[in-house]
Amino acid sequence: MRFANVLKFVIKFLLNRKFMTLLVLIVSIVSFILLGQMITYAFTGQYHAKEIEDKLSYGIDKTCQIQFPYKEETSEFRDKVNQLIAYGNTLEGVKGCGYYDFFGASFTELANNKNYIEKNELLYKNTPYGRHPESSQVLFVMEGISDLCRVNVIEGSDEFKRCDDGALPLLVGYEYKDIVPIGTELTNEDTGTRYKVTGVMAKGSKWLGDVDYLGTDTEKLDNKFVAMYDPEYIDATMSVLSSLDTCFCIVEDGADIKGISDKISAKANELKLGVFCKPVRAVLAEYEAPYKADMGLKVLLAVMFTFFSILSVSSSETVSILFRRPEYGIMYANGMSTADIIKMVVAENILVVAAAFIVAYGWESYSLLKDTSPFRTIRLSIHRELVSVYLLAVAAVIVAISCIVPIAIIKRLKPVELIKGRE
Amino acid sequence: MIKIKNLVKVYKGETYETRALDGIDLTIEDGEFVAVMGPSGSGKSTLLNVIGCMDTLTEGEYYLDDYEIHKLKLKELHKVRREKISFVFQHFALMSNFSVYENVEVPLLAKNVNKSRRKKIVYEKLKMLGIDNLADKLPTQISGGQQQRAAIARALTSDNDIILADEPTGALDRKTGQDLMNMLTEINASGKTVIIVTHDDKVASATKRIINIVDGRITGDEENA
Ligand SMILES: Nc1ncnc2c1ncn2[C@@H]1O[C@H](COP(=O)(O)OP(=O)(O)OP(=O)(O)O)[C@@H](O)[C@H]1O
Ligand SMILES: [Mg+2]
Repeated sequence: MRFANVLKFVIKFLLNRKFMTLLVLIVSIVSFILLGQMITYAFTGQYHAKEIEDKLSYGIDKTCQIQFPYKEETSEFRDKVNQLIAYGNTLEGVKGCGYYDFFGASFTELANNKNYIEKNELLYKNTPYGRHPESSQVLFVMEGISDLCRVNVIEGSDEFKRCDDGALPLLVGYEYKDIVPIGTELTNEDTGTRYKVTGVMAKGSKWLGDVDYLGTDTEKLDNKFVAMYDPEYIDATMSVLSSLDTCFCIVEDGADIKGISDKISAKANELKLGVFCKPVRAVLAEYEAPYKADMGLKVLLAVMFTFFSILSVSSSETVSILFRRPEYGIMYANGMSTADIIKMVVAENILVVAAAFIVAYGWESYSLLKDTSPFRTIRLSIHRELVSVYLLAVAAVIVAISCIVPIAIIKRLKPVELIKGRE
Repeated sequence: MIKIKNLVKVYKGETYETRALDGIDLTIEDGEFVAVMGPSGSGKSTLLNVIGCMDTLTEGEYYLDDYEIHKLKLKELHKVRREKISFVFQHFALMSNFSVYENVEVPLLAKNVNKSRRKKIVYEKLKMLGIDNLADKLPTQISGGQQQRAAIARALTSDNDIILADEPTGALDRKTGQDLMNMLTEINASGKTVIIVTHDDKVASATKRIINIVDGRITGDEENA
């Protein structure tokens, strides 16, 4: 029998057992949702690590974070931090140490630049920065970690070094490439520090965020500047304190990370600072630990409900075909074959499970879109790339297992016995 | 043509063994109109089911046109049944959740007839039996006589050569039963082989040949003048 005709019967049959169908649907939907969540949780760590790995020029094993659990708003503390960074930069096997921070700055030369102001009005429309289009959003980054993230320079030089005339290097975002061209000199209005545009960053360049860099999306650099950390700011307590969560140390290939981190800790102790220095991979693992805590329960629930789902699809179908024996008898007497009837049973199970899959997947997509947790983006990609595939596979398994008993029963039914009592 | 030689059908269970048919020899030519009569439990329905390829036989030979039915498995019988046989049952055998139209359409679905042709054929048969206005009704919403007409319409849609009717008048009153026999006579006149099982002499007398069965054996086979 043709598929469309099989479907005709199946839909009719399903409508004739609305309540049971609804019940089976609910159990299956719940099991798909739980499975989806379990898979998402299970892979969040892996995806997160990969995401951060992709963002870092040297990867999560060669980039270490220097964490400062205790902070003090004093100039002594600030000086000790800077001493520690300076010490780190002298260590063998260390490519560079430093911190970065995003904040607004005003450059004297741009204050009356009409093109620049108009551009910013456009770029920052409907954001808090839109009110000060003459100011600039700048990533201030120390020389040692200027290649922490992959940033390509498409014009000018990618060397991030103090210029011969003493000006500090500054890269402009892609959006400004014609408005603030290479060679433009800029003066920081607050500190008087001189900058010179040395390069234009490639479109789509990104950098880690400055608050919860593991949990938040990367910052887009197209509408920003990247400047060497202003020495005046390095001497300012507040700007140093606000940069403490983004203090990194990049090590060279084959460097003794343990040794380096021990030395940094020792130096910190000497300075009476309590710090941890560990590879970003380890930081990530700690970051995720609380999210992973209830994994066991999630797996148990998901497996249990998948089992319930198989049980309910299978048993409802079995009960249904037993009730439908007279119909099958009539179908046999009117030229249908066992294969036709088996097709109906399989199609019926597929339809129920597919409906459950669609509802569950749709529901999960919707709730992920509304998710505000730090893992939203990661979960969305897992949802798209993995959950879809896994759930379809589980759906196929549920259908396959649920068909075993009903098909066995149908094969044992004798057409002639089905029409008994109707002769 | 139906040709049966020494047909034996044994129902076997763990605690019983019933020889429902015990050496039947029978030939029915195309276009015959036959009544099968006999006491209850004599094997009439069993014979009809074997002829209709709803069941396999235990021993003997059964030739249906070019098919050697006794050599076929149940699975292969589906195909023969789809091409050759139509049934009419005592209790109409309509699917209760399906409309008259949907019930009548079933043999055409089995034959993969396309939708527009299905519609044409179904309405043609419903009209022929005077129930085209009931197409959308459920079987429970129409009378027994109308249900049996729907069942006959269904038997006719597939245009198969052999129509088997097991006690077709059994659930109908005398007048309606009479109408039904007139319809079957007409159907036979149009060239179809019609075999009916009945207890009713009056019904049997409308046919052209009466076969009597007792205890699974043919005890009489006469032309009906
Ligand atoms: N599926 C079955 N399993 C076991 N025995 C059966 C089966 N079907 C029929 N029989 C037995 O075979 C014999 C013939 O039954 P059948 O139904 O053919 O009789 P019948 O002539 O049609 O009777 P009735 O006039 O009551 O319909 C009976 O003894 C019956 O009990
Ligand atoms: Mg009978």
